[in-house]
Amino acid sequence: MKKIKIEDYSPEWAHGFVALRDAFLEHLNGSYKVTHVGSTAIIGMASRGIVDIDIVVAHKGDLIDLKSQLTFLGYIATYESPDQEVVYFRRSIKEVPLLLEHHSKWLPHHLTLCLEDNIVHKSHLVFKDYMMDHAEEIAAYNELKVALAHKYPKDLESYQEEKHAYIHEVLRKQGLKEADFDLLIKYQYN
Amino acid sequence: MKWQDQYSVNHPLMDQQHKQLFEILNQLEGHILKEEALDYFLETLEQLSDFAWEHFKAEETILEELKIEGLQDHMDKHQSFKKKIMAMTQSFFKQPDLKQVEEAYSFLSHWLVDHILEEDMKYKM
Repeated sequence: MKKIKIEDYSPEWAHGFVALRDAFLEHLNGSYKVTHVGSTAIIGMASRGIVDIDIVVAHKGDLIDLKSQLTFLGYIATYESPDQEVVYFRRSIKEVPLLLEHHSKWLPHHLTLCLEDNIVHKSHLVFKDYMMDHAEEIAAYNELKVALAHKYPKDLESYQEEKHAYIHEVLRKQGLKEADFDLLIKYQYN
Repeated sequence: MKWQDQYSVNHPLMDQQHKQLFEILNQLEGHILKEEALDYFLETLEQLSDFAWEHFKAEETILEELKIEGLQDHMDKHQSFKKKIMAMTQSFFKQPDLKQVEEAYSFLSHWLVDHILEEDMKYKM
């Protein structure tokens, strides 16, 4: 297990997202939206430098079709919810999405493909909007991440668990109910 | 897999990188022999694809500088290799089994030797 490293905010994350979004828009057919979520999407927020991207669709048919297209580009579906509303992806090799260009090198990223009204996507947006409106929370969250990285230098699971407690607190303040959290657990939200 | 003089393209950096590719595959063979390949295969593929990225890029720059004919064809072969690594990773992630590892080792070791002898020799100094 590699050491957890928290990096200061970098505008490169936004550029990296735009490059990936453009690649998806060029190479994925269908009706969908690509959204930058997670810490790298919030100006001033420190993170592990992994760009989180939601690709959202209106219908399950679109989701199934896009899953197949993303697999063709080299992604691996690591989890698919039984109701086929949420699929998480990782890259098979670092050049994924493997396109026609040679030696493409993308920022590390995680993809979530889901229905647009699914709680996973909604919670990503709620958290992002809240943090962008509360600069003081960004500083506090950054401090928490650095402290957790020191506490659990190589234990990503424990790091994530304590970080999620903070995220859930924010989501709760923003009106998410217990039933929503039950759903997030069901979708193995992380 | 043992490095032999006939694999040398008389370019120090390329020879060194080719030897490193041999080394990665020898490590995979070691994992197979120790019956621990299932635990290390994804790591090996990642290592291989990362190193191949560096090597192919360096090699294609040299080919371009030397104005070697058939550059596009050579680049296509590199791309096809990357696609194969990608497919192997996807397939193993879906259903890990030893047969896949052994087939992959066989493909990769043959590909590397064939590619050096047939393609890379075109730029031998």
